[in-house]
Amino acid sequence: MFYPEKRDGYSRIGKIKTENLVLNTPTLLEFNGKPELQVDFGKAPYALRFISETLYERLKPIEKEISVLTGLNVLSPRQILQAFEEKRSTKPLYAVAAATTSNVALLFYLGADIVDNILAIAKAYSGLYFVGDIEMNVFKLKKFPCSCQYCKSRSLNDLSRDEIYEIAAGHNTEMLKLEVEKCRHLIEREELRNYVEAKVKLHPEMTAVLRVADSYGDKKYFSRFKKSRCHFSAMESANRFEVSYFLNRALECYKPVTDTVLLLPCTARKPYLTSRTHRHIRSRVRINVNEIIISSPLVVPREFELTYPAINYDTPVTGHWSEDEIAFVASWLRRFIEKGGFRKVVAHVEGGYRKVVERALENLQIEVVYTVEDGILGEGSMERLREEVAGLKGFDLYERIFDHMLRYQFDIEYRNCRYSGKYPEIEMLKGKERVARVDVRYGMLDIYEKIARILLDKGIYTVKIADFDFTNTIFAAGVLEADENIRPNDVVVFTSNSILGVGIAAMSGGEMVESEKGIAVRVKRKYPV
Amino acid sequence: MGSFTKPIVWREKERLDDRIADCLTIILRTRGCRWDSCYMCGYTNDAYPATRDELIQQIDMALEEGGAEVVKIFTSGSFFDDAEVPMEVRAYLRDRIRDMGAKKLIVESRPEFVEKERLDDFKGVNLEVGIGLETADDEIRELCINKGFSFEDFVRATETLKEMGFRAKCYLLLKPPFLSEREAIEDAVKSIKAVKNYADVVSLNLTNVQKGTLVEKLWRAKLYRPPWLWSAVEVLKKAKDVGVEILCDPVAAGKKRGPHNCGKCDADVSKAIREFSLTQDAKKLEDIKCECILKWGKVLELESYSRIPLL
Repeated sequence: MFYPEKRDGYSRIGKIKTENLVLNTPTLLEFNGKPELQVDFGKAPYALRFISETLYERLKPIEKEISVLTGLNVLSPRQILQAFEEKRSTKPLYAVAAATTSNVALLFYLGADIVDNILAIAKAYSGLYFVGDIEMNVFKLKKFPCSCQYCKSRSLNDLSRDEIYEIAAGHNTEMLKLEVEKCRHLIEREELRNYVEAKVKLHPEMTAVLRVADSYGDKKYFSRFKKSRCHFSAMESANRFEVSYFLNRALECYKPVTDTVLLLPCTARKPYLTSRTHRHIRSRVRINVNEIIISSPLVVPREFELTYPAINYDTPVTGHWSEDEIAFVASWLRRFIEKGGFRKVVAHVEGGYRKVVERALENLQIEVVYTVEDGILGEGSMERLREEVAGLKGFDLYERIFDHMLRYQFDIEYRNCRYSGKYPEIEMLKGKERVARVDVRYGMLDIYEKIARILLDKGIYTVKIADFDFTNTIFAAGVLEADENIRPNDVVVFTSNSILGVGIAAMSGGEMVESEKGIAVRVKRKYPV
Repeated sequence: MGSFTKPIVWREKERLDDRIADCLTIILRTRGCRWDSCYMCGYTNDAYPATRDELIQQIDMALEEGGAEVVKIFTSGSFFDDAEVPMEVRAYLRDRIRDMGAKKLIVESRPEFVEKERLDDFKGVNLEVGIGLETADDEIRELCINKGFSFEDFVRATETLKEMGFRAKCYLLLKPPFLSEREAIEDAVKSIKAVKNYADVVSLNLTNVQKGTLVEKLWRAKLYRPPWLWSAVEVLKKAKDVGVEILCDPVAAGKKRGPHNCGKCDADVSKAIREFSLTQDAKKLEDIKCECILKWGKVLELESYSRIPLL
């Protein structure tokens, strides 16, 4: 039986329990003799499906408790994605004889829960020895450059071919084990994507798989809010789910109020308002207009700077903007400016940022002024900026932030509140009662009873559960109904006949209903009905 | 392949009453196998819809030189299928063989054509009929080979042959598609035991990749590898323990499309197999050595899980 505990995109953490065995997934099955887990591998490899579907249907394994993908390594990137898409379910997914140290992170990213050391052994018997991600010809070695239990101080001269193969097989397995452990840790930290983007660069084929993956399927398992920092280091970074979701959703929810918009460059420190640059500008100029911060690959209206991934990302800064970056960012900036219906753009930017603004405003009938004269923070620049935004009426930034975050996260409006707290740890109160607060770790709102009841009334982000006692976790077995739009890490409301509460989803809404086992919701707080 | 109307003829050695004899082997160009659906078989690539007269011509051409104790006729199908080899042609061949004084005639046929009425014409001839059972396991024959007949059909055919005083040869296939290397060996050994009481002699055929077949598609997609020669050696040794006469001609051995080991030892190992086949002396299989046997050992261990070739 499989007990999923956490989801990050397609990857999962969980437990496989049998009568005499508990495996923490993602896991490595070792084939030294018989494997510890009983699996029906069927007759034909999954890859046969692409030659004859009817034959595959006749010869495939009986996948009672475990889904099995065989022959992955002979498939094209698109076929690989099709394979994972087809086999993805509430059962654990086993990618058979496919894992090496360089590709196992990608296999987990695509949704494998189980891998094995079959390829690691087979490679050893072809004379290949894993050195980290690289495979070396073992017979070119004099000594094993490793101190694992198999290699430690063995010199190849004293060994028979049989012994060398055996050592290499043991060693390759150890290397793979380490990599699997690393990946489990990364899934736990919701950081696997950063690692995979780096890893796939080892082989164009793997890069192709990731690119196809980004354009494939409905992404219902991907989180909108994560606790990890986004590293936008690769070309593929701009294709992440969280980037496209953020840009599309922010644009949809964007409701600025002033006629003028101030464009500012991004800062290394997040949220931007806590950076020295943005603080300095605000200390010198009263800014009472809507602001949009230009970054890459993000464009972030100030209202969304506490929303993931705007609140927690890093991007390599060189001062040089590639043509692709300029085009991508400018197109989004233009959309935000158009959506905002601004009459005037005050662009306090220089260098590549200015190129982005110029590109974004091409053929738009909007007044634009560039206010940087002697550097972003120069006295002259501050003076110019003051002139352009002077005399404008103030608005409450915290109110704007909550207003936008509520819309972004739950599609609801809730006003006439008080706002307090030390930025960015800010909260929203009705009288003395806390209504919502910014969860800066995840870049989302945490909610309390008032909002919970609104969601419950609307039937959104709601999980109906059976009446039973529980403390910190709600298991899938107890879920009766769940909003299909729920993604892992979403703040949800759960309810039974006797209880109402707020928690964080550990799986998607669909899975909460389909799964028989595993953690559906982690409880944050409960209220009496 | 030369003209479609000319038979292919060569001379080789065959076993005749426990000794080695000259054999004239002939592939008659017929319209080919009526079933023509087995996953590994591409023999109908060489088919030609020969008329009765053309077949008689082919026989004349093939037997021109004569002078062999054993005559072996392949039709890429069934010798006793009237549509392939008409009755008169069979009778003509029988007479010619008799006239040239050959001591043994070997043909092959699917079991459904092995019927008393069709065999009557050969009374008095030392006839051996090969039947491609491939495996004694009905499920494997159905799912992995698509042979279209059952073990029962085979048994019935061998009984018919025996009643009439003819010999039955059973072809077994080593490594049909969708079996791992180990499963293939196990299946062959099991099959040998199962046919022991029905067949006078067993011929172990090592799968090779023939044009236009499903096996070729699988092979191109890297989902199939022909058997290792070590696997054949293993099966032949076990067969000797079982106590059957077993022949094996590793066709295309050492080639990518044929049964092969590592490339270095293929010539030696296939030579040993051929020698064993003629002499039935298991010692011929004992002295061959190559370090690739270590890889083969891992293949046996792992490919039942991977379901695709690894090494």
